[in-house]
Amino acid sequence: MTIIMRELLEQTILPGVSKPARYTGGELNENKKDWEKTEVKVCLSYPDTYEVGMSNLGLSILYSIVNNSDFALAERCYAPWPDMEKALRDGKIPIYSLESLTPLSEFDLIGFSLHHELTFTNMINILDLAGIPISSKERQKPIILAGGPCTVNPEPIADFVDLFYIGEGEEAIIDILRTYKENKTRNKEDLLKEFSKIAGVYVPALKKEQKIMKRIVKDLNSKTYPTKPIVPFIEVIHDRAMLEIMRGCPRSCKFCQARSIYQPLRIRKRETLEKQAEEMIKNTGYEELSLVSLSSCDYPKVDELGRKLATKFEKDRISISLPSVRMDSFSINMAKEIGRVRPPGVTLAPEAGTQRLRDLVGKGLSEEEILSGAAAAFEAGIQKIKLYFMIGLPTETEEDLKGIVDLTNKIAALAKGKKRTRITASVATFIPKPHTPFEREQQISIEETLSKQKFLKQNLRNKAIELRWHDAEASFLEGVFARGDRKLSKAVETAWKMGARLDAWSEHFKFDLWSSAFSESNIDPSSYLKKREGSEKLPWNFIEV
Amino acid sequence: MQKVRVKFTKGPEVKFISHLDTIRTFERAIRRSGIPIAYSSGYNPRMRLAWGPPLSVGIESSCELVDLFMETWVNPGRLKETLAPSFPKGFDIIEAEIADAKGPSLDTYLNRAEYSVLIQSGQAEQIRQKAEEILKRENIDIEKKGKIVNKRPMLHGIKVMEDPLRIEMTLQVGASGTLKPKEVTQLLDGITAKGIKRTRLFAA
Repeated sequence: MTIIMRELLEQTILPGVSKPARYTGGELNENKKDWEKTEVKVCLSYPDTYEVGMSNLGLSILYSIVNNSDFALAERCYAPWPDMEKALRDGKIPIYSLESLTPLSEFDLIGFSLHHELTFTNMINILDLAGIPISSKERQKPIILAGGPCTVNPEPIADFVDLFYIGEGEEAIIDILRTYKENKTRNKEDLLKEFSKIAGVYVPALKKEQKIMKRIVKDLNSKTYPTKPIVPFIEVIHDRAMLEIMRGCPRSCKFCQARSIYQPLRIRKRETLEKQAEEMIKNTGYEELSLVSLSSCDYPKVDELGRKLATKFEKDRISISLPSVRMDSFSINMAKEIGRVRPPGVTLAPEAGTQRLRDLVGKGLSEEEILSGAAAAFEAGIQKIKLYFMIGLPTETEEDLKGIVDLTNKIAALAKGKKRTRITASVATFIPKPHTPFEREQQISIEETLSKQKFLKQNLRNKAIELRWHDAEASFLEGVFARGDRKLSKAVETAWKMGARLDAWSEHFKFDLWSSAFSESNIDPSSYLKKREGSEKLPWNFIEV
Repeated sequence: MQKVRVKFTKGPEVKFISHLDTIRTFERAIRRSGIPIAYSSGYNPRMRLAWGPPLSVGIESSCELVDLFMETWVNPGRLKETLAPSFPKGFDIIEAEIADAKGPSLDTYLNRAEYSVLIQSGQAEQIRQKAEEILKRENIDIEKKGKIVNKRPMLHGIKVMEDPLRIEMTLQVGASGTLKPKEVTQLLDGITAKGIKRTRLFAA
């Protein structure tokens, strides 16, 4: 099968598609375990393009854990670009795993990592391209599991998924695969009952009897870390070695879902990190090592760690970076020093334009701190500054929008006379997310979003500033699914049938298609944006993070 | 500064990797191997590599060339041994030899490439006749970015061979213009290429 498949792909499919190297596998450090001799086979999928999926650290961790086990193997599959989807459908070729080119239907389990609500249609599209029924009820095998941040409210996609695991997958994945191994001869119903006994696992087909507690790994130092990750041939979004330095976040911004998903804060030991950094560079040859976490500048003595690594790798011109550098003189100087081979850009997230609103959302930054941070950045010769703001936060008034304009202008004024400085103000629409202090708040409508964006566009007229915003309709859809219930599965399926794909890509996102899908499913999507009163039961109540 | 010329293959496993991706793969393999490569100076130092004519996506090769500039002197045989295991499957280092550091760069002096195009099915004689007809033409006009270019002077030979049925062609590459094997197979209408391989790079 594999040989025929390879020939078919090489001769008839891949020559006609864009970026064919997305679909060939064979990258450095790819793990190809013996299919015949391995008892349990799982295909791990990030339902977006290869470039997005290969940048995900979580899946890389799981890939390594499964392949290091003695009874299971993991292979990979990502969402095809429309030209590849067409080629597969026209050629009647099932979507396959990159390692062994095995059709997905031959795996025992398929695991989806869900990080963004707008990847839901890709997930069912992948199932369909594999010839697998998309509905859990109509399917015997393979078993479809899902994890990742979106699963803290699993209801909107509960019709498609056999089991969700809530929380961190390092231990849960092995529990699930082992349970499969021990019960694989049993029918699906019995198998699902066995799965539901695993901590952190939610099986939508079974009655909810108790709360599902999120799984966490207590000691991150004791877990193996993927120091030999796959090195993609093509350029992916995060094209560098990623070393997780801590999990969780010491800050408490009320809008932030990542904080609640990844809590509690766990700090990985410096000695472990130094050792693993060395292994990673040796195994990958990457020119950049990123010290990854939700808030890396908050790692204890991060400057010492950064400096030590920078010195160690200096002769190989490897630069050390932080995923986002906070705009204060300490962080900037450190970033500049450790990233010496490349001038880093810095980011600052005031989130709101006025002190009142910043305090309300739990973002402790004062205007003085923001401006002195920006001044320090320009002083240090930083040329790229990115500011993050949100519109539609609870209690927001025009005063707060004016605040965004004023603050951005003040920052731009500090850059006066500095050539080649680029200031980007990126404005997102606030989306209330489950398991955050704002989970019951209202989300602004598309019209309100557009009018607030218009206000900013009209008032922020400064050549030194580039204003960017999130698409109002995409934010709307994200908000609907973030706080959605099981009824929405129908709309996802309908939209997918109508052709919705790669919704996170502006060039493929078709909102009118979604509107039709909602009305066909008799769903008023805007009802999901409403404020949830204290008496109202939330669809994600049964999950405990 | 020492210049080492490395000859490598691009097998079927990596034929869909673009030239740019090949460069990145090399840089990372070199870093893993630990050979003393030289870097450019400046704020954003890059490894000092100089590449031969790029290979199109989808084409295999048994004869790709790249020059490596070394920070300290190395024995080319040792370099080959150290470097070879650092590559993913599909890239084979077949030769490493010292080149004149002051000599011309690969992309300026190499101007011919030979390709072998494996044909799915067809009549050798028919293809041969068509090839002869094409070689007799004075113009081979190919449109590129809205401009018509006569690429006949870039076509230096077509031979049809059997067992297995294939077309061997010698085409111009490099700075003064490139004729791609696919542009030639399109002229030989009615044939389907099963695979294309670059077999030789040289200067004429």
